[in-house]
Amino acid sequence: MDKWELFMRLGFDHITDFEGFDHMLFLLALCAVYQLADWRRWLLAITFFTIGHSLTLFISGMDYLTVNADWIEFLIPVTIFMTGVSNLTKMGQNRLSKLRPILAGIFGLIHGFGFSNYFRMVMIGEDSALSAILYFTLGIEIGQVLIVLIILVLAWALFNAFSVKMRDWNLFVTGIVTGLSVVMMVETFPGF
Amino acid sequence: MRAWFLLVVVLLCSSFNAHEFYVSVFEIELHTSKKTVELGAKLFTDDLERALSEFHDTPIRMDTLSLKQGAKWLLPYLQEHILMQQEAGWATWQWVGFESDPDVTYVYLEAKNSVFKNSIPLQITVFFDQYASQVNIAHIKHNGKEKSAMFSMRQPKTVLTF
Repeated sequence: MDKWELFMRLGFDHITDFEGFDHMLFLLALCAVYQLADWRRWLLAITFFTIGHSLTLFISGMDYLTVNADWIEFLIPVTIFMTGVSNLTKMGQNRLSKLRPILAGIFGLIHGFGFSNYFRMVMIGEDSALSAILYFTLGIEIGQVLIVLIILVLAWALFNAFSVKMRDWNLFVTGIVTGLSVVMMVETFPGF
Repeated sequence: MRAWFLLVVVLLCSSFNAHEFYVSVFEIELHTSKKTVELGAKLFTDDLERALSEFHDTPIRMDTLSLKQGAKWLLPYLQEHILMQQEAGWATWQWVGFESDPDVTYVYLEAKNSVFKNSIPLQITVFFDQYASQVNIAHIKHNGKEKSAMFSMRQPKTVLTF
């Protein structure tokens, strides 16, 4: 295959494999308060997340700024935990809230440093770093949209086939994700 | 409902592994006129130490190896796990050198008297015995063209066509 195709596959695999489990959990927490039909709302939130992580993936992937990987691995579950907690508040459950996309954007900055740790390992030679980053990011985006669609279609099916209520779904998903994020925070605590 | 919830959490926690990934990168350049192949490998140092220690059945640390010892311990392992088909049998790797820090080790090898056809079978199984999710990536330059390939447990070999 060509180099661009390889980097796109690496991006896609990185977020959809269990390697990218923490990013997946974040998307689950972020989307727990949305329904498939609110597509403008959830699309806005994941777009802000994308802008955030693309920015830091670029500056760290190009070696302009690097951050200690141990801290990033700890901060990623912190973003999941905070999103989970926000899902329990009125603000978090308000789908019209502007704060939610903004938070997703800020948390995206942290996830981008996480992606760049992987990217910098798979990069060898400096000649085509920029195009490699672009294709890697594109692969992440395709994977991300796929994950979000699967989550929201699953939720839609539960709402319609089993009359599951939005509130119960949110509590169920948020409970699992937030619980896991605590385990991850303990396991990744720097110096532990 | 509560039992299901607990079951899911326990299952997820038990299989949870902190954000780790297992990947190596190889850059291979074929020089048709000189009949040589140059190979550079970028490997995680801790994974390499584990693989070498298991392969030789003795503990090996990269920061204690001299360049010469590098040849002794690394070359047999890499020879067995990087197989590149030439017109006449597998490429025989020769030692060039290595650079190592606590995170990453670069290893350089070359093969001489190498003549290749336009389609080249390549198999890279480095660290497959250690990590089921190991992925090896290779970029291969030949006659001004560049191809890339991915190797995993599911697909340990490929045929590159130039």
